[in-house]
Amino acid sequence: MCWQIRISLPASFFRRRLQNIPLPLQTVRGRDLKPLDYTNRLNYDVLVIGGGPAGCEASAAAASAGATVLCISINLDTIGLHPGCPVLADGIDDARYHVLGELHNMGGMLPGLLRREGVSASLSSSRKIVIDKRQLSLAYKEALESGDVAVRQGLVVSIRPEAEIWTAHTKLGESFNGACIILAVGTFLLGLIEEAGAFYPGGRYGEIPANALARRLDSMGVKTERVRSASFPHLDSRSLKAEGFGAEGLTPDGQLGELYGKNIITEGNRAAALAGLRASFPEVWITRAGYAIHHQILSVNQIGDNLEANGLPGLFFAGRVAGCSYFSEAAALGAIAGRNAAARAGKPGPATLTSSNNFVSKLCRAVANDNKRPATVRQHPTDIPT
Amino acid sequence: MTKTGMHSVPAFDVVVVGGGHAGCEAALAAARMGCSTLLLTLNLGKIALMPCNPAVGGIGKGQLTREIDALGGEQGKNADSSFIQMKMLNTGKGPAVQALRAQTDKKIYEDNMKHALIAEPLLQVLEGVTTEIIVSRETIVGVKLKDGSFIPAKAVILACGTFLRGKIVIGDRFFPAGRMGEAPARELSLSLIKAGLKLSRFQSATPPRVDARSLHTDKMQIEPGDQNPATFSPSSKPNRQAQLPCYLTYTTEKTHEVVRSHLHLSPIKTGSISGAGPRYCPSIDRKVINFPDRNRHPVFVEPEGQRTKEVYLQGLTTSLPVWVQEKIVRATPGLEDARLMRPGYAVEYDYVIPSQLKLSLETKIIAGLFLAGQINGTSGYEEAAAQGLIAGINAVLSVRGEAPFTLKRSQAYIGVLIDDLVTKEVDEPYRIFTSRAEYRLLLRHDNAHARLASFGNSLGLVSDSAFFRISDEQRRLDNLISNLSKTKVQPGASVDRLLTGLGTATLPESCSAEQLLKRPEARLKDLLPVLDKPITEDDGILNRAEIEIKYSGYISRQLDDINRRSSMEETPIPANMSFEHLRGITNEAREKLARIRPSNLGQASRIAGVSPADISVLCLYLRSDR
Repeated sequence: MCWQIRISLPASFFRRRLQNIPLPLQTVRGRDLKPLDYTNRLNYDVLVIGGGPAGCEASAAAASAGATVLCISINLDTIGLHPGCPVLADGIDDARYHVLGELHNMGGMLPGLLRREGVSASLSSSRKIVIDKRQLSLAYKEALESGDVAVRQGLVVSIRPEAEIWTAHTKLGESFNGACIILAVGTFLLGLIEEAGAFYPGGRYGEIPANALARRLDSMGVKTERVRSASFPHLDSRSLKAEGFGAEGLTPDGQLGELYGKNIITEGNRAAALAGLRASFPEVWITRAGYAIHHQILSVNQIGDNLEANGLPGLFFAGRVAGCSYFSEAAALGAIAGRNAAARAGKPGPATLTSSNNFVSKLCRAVANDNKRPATVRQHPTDIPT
Repeated sequence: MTKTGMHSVPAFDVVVVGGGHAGCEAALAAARMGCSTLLLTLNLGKIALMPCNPAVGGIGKGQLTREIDALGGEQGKNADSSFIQMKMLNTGKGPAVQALRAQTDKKIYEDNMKHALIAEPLLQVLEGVTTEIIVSRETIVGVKLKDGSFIPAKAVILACGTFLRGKIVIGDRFFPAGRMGEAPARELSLSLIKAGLKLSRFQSATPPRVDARSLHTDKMQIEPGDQNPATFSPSSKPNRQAQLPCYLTYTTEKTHEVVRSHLHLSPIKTGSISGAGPRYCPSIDRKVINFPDRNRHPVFVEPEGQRTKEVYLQGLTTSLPVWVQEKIVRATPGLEDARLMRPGYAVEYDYVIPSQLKLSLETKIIAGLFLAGQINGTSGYEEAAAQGLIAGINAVLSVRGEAPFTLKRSQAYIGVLIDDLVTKEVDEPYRIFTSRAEYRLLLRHDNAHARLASFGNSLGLVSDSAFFRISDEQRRLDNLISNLSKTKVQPGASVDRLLTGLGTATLPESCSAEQLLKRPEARLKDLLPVLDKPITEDDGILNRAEIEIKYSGYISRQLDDINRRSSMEETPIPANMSFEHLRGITNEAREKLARIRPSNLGQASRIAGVSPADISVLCLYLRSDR
């Protein structure tokens, strides 16, 4: 069964309309250069806002369907960066494991990247998938830039529908047109970092938030709600060797020999948190403090289970902002949104047969219709989503 | 909890604020010398990031990187294992200006530095925002973080780069940022001002990055790396992996016309940016204004890594609006269809006026507080790393209560750099050049380790085995030079044929190899077959011997000059000397001497506004005082 694509007009209608509209911006058609032959276009079939797993998968999926794609990210050095728990799947009983399998069947990037050297460790007996966050980010960046996708650094401050075309405006005054836009902006909408009781703006630790875009969505009538996502402390793995710190709750982070302290909750600022932990483990060292990020995600019933915004044709959401909870879920939603957006833009691509009961379909329905926010397909979540 | 009520983290000997090129060298040096060290950074994912040119080394800078390696620093070794192209520059000119340049893979460089940090058992890292330096009785006692944590320290090194109240400017748009997409450090500057330090503003710009797949490389000149790439560090294994080519194109009148017609939008013109920019790393806007008679400017097209499509456009630095940048790029041959991946931009930031530092990079007014890198008004990763290394060394020495380690202008480019910074006032971001070193014939790429490795070894940063290898090489060099003065070349037909082939006169009578080598056309490798006694040596040592012999006249003249001036350099000026009552010097000299507080007569003579007559008066006064 194919994905249900809810459109009220046939795709050919849009194609004709796009050709007839005098474009306000100059389109410079460069010489055909393989593999990318739309080098100077400011017009694309699909604009993807966000370079995390959802944004990367969306870009790749739309491009492989034959759409011209531009991916805009605030920071090209943090493509595909996962700030949270490096365990992507806890084993074969974990729904996320099956989400990754289905993503593989859909032609998604992530499963292939996980098999690259240094990116992930998968303990064969338990099927637990643990990633090196830095190596995965580098692999995602390489894969995104190698696909048929134009990639650009920029902060989108507004999106606007104008006669069946969406335009994205950046802080620096650039404008890009797309038949469709996919917002895969993660935790950046009105992002506020909470650290030891103090609050300051941030989309992720050390990075700037996307506030203007959030206000724009609000003015367009898209309902969002505030959630709090926790990021747990990172501990120096060298400091724990002598301790015999239990493996429970600690997972290797890859970069800088840090361990992610899943569910290790500390009180107060860095000094107090360290003192607290050292009461039990005198030599331990915290390299990154735990913090929480408050941000906006879609409320229930804002999108259909094809991830397109209700009443705003051509606008899609994917990833954390759409309301999922985990990295692998975000990647899967990205792939779905990418395919659907490409089809909406007149590039349907090959159909993929999936059963309507599969995990990814369940996930799409959950982020669209589940009252519990954020949504997930994990049956028995044992921890706070990160 | 401390008495002041602040929550306290366990104390460290040395705390380094900033994880860039200066911060990493400082932290590594301090840990390697045996001090417990903490590296604080706003973002642990951005250690040793290169925000601009993806390269280490070059003219002048390459000498700094060599010296950093000779003293036991990390930059040279890192460049040796992360390069995607290695080139010795100025091979057609004299050895005094030859320098090595490595085009690096930025991500590998970052990862290498992180691995180096984590390999040091005494070095710890912490992600956090530093908001205050804590000073008690004119001595540093620690730093405070945004979350209220206090970190006690015996020495603190600030290496904050462009983050102090950083502001990005592109055209008419500006917003706070330390680098594109990264939040700035807002509070620390205020703490420095409150502590009595004087700050000013500089700006630095970076060019756009374009997608490698959108370039017409057939219209550009290919610039390959060296066939046999050299290394910065003698301990690095030669890396024979395939190098990525760079490309060279030139702007045209068309490009310049685009720039000129949009100059009114440049932040320099609109006034959005007030800090002075680097004269020697000018933007394309500045080049078009300052050099109207030049009809083309070079643009080097440099890949930023093996795994990314981002390409750096060296020579097209600009902070004009993005849509103008697109036009400028497309008006350049080979870049007609180039797709921008990152816009160029300028960042304006606070720096600390470096005349407030001693030659050890310690601040004059706060004991135990050191500053290194762009925060001192320099530009460049190599300049930053050199300062970081010296600051790290001296932070440890100050913790131990020992005298600081400084290098003279006649010993190293690092000495020139720091002496220039603290003695002459910088009015634009300082960048090292060979012309800044009056003794550049002595401060060469080839003899950096011979000059400095012994210091590195006694400081504990260069291992005994590495030092032994370097001393052994020096011994072999000395032997070779002595042999060449004793070995003769006999006149004969084959010798004459060789000499004529080299373009020099024939040999009338036998002479020493050394004598023959003094001829500019004679190359040692060519002469080896015709020597009296056979000599075999490594290419590197042959090369060094050749340089020493060919330039021996000039070298000894420079050594004489150094000796003559050494009496001035070694005449100390008491730290607490008052210039108020010194009669016979100009007011300007009095003001400058009081502000800069030179530590010796030689340094005093280099201060702008202090004339030879003023020096004579000072000299007499100091002599009578003894």
